[in-house]
Amino acid sequence: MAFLELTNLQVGYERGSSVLSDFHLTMEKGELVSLLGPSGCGKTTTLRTIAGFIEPSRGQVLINGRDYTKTPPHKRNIGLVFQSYALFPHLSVFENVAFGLRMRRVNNTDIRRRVTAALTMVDLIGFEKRLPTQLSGGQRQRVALARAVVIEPDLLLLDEPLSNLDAKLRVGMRAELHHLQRQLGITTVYVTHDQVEAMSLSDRVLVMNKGKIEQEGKPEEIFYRPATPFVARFMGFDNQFAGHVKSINDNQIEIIAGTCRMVARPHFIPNVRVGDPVDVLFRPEVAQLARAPSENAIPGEIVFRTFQGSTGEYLVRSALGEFTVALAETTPSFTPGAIYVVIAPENLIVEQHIEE
Amino acid sequence: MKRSPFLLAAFSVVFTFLLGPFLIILIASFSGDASMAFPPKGFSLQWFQKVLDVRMFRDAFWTSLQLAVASTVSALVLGTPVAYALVRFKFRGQNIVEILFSLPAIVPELVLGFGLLQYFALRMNMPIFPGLYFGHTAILFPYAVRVVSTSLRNFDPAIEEAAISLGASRLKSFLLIVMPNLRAALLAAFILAFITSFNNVSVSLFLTGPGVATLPIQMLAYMEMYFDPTIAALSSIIIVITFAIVQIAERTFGISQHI
Repeated sequence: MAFLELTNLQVGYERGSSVLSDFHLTMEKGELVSLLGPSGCGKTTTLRTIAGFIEPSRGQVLINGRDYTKTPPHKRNIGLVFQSYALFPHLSVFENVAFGLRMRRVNNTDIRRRVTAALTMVDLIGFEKRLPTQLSGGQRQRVALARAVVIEPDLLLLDEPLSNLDAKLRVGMRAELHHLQRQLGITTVYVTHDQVEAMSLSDRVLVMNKGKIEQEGKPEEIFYRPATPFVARFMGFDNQFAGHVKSINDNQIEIIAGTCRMVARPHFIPNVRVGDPVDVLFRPEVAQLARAPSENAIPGEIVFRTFQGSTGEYLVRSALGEFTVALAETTPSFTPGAIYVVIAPENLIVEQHIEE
Repeated sequence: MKRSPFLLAAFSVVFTFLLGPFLIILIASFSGDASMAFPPKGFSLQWFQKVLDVRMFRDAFWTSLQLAVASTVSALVLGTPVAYALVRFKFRGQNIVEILFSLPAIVPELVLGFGLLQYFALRMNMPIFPGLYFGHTAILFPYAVRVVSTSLRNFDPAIEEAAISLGASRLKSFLLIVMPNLRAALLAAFILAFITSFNNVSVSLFLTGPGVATLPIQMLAYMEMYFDPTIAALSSIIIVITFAIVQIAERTFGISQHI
């Protein structure tokens, strides 16, 4: 049976406009699900609704079969980690972690034991007496994590926990977080706007847009087979050109874009007919560059190349627009000049063109 | 920094008008002569002795102290929840409430004093001290709200939510988590309000009466009859005590960032 169930959730801040509508989510025990989306997509609202800070105008929050919809937040057994860490500034690391246990009237011996265990887990033994201001960002985040898990919550909610850390620390913390979550087996909801974070941590990802779920699935599914144009763009389909449909055969679409004839074999067939205007999308990493014309090639000109470590990024200007092409550094580099951008039919996504 | 003559001139003007009067009073209070004069003739501590000897100053000092402590504490006790509500919750008519609560600080104090006289003393026949107490609480209340809400605005609401998610009720999280972090702001508000009450003339003027007077009112009354350096000595004592309190509070809690 599902451990966490959100059914038909609707949250409205003001009359008429709803921040969340028809939201469904079921999670198994121990699962880590990411809510991924741009700011304002409703992911934090979802989290706050689960935590009990927002009361939904419709729908239910069920945890372990029990209806929590009307339960006030302090009577739910949920661990929360905030983007700003939200440590208690006047309390030591030890007392920060102990707070939840003190609220539960755990006796002092057990508090000492459990806080020590939690601090051991996040590798902060020896820091018990420090105040939050005497800690680095990474350490603060680990205190916040220890404070949230020490109460042995039914559910762990993480709201952009890594976005205040610098890039290098973030990768390290991400791994630690992953390890910890697996080790404790806590059912976890993770809110982020960073697709890499969501991909690397999650069992499942929910991509959200304007208070609705755009796509739900395993990280691989979402990355390789985005179901909607929004998800595709969010997953790094950064290049786009316009054209119209010339023919459709089974799962193959022939498109005329300017003077080019492109063939696409997308994994989802869009709802388009012959003659319809369409947008075609592809990722920078899947395109190739060639000096000679071939099938599925767009003629253009290299404007410049930027070195990015393991890849080299080329900006190509063509009659269909500007494209970014990322090539592994092992391939010989191209000098500026006339070039063809070649994309395999499987790597093109086609969608109905929407007038903006 | 370059010492320009202009800067030097500006500095001396500010110094003369801002600190000059204090200096004159300080020096005059050590006068050996029976009349206020500057520069004073001779040196003595007799005026300080007189301040301590005069019964009406001692009584007025106690009245002022009790009044200041009582009204400051009341203003803080009433103002803190109001500040909390104004900062943390959004409700209809919030602006109006905010303006209403700051009215006592905006309305000229003489008008306020006169109004309170009409209301408390004439209509309700309230005794003098309670009248003073309510009047002072009213003028201190906006300060309390202002200082506390400024500090609350800088306090991450997520910290409270963290406490709530860990099992603290809203009240508990306020008492255990918010209040300790408001300590410096509350102290700043306390000192500011205390000094405001202790020094207040215009409201007290209307509300004092036979037998009960605050120190500033008593000083005014005394000056109408005598013109000796006693008042200067008393003023010096008040200045030194005020300065000391503010300095200690600043060193210990850094209260200036809350005012």
